[in-house]
Amino acid sequence: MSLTETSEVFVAVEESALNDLITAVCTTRPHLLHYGSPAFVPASSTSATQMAPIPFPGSPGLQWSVELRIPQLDLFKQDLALPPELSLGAGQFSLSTTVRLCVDCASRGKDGKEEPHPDDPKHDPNDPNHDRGDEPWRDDRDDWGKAQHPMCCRLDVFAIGHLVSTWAGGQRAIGFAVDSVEIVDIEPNALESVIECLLTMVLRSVLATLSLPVTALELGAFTLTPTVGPLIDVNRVLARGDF
Amino acid sequence: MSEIIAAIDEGAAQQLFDTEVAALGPQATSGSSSLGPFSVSYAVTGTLSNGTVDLIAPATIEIADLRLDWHVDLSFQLDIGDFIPDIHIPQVCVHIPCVGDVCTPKIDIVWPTVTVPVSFGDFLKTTVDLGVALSLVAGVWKVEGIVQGVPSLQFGASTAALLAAIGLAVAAAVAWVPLIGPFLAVLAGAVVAAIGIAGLTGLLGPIITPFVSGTRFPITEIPALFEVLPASGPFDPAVFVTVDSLGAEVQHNPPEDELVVLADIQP
Repeated sequence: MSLTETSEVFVAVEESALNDLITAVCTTRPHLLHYGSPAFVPASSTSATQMAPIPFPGSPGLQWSVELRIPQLDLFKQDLALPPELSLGAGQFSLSTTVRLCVDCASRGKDGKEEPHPDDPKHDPNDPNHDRGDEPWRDDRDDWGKAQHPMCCRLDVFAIGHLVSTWAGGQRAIGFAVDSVEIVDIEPNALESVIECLLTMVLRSVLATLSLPVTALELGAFTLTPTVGPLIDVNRVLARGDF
Repeated sequence: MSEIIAAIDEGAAQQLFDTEVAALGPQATSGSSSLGPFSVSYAVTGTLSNGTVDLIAPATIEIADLRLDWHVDLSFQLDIGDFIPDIHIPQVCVHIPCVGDVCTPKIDIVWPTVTVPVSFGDFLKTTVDLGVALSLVAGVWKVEGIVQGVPSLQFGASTAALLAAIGLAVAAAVAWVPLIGPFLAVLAGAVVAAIGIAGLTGLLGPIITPFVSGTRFPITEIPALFEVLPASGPFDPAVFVTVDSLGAEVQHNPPEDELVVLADIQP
């Protein structure tokens, strides 16, 4: 069977090369995988993308950050283990990564002082400085990049997705769309569902910014105008088209 | 197994070589050589146009009917005396009574050396086999088709035409020489005979063959540091991958023959 079949040009990229390309993009532009509010990301840079705090009444905004490890893709057929909830179908890829979620668990004490616990002997409910819950949180915008009490967790995330045709820099490109996400071992199930939903949205947003021009798939060896694909074949992405 | 495979079929290879051969443009060279008994200076140009591409596994690209349009400007010194003897007619005097001596003039004709310019063009067709060659030069992987061996160029009828053109050029070049008229046809014929087919092919072969032999036809070039994405903003520098290795071959994948480029990369 010919490679080009009825077309003039054939291109195939093994999943190792696809992961190399993704690694190159994410290593050179790590901000694609790292987002956070000012307490965590003092300014947008190549390393991270600054975003707004989550607005919430009575606070200057909830400080947060999301950071993903460079995702590892496994093209159908399945080579990497997946949670039983996910199965890799023809034409799909699986994605595994680790997501680090952080919030700045800010004190509500004045001037950033910790409020003594009610059981603490130093706790005086008659103290005029006692936080009655009606004082606004301190606006710590002067402390950007200095999360006061960062609390973070790491979650291993698995996803199933498919390729989409898109454009990057005026060139035809392939993009990555998420179909479903699974996080392992979170109880109760409702919490797992909420976090999975949250991370699905995060992954979709992150992957929407990650695309690879078709020229990169064939290193510019031959000019390809795809008429078939790019699509996932067995452990590779292939495309056929006109010269 | 290579990480990246790019292949084109014979139809695309035909388009590729049509483009690449046309992009070569005219080639030119000049020098001096021998044309039969003459030393000639020459300036020659040649322009290739593509023939029919046939991919032959494992590593041959045959181009049948590769056409070379060539034009040559020759110039050589012709000593007419080498072909027509100088004429020396001594003075003859006759004594005539009552008149005295009557003498004929002494005639000495020493034929000059003249410059004969010849301008001629024609085309030929040949079949060449290209080998697929790979090189890494100044950070760029180059895949090229290189003509294998020295093709035998058949000049055919053009050599006879060129001989005729030389005869005409000789006649034109010596037309100004006094008293050459009766000898013109003899001179032109003698020069043409002295050169002969062998003399012409002996000149044309070595100066025109290099336009074909050793010619490198670019197939593709890939920077060893390949740009995946261009820079697109202050936080988005250009993204590169390193092309570790590259290969090129002709594969017979029934029912087609395909020109295949193989590559491995790392981030």
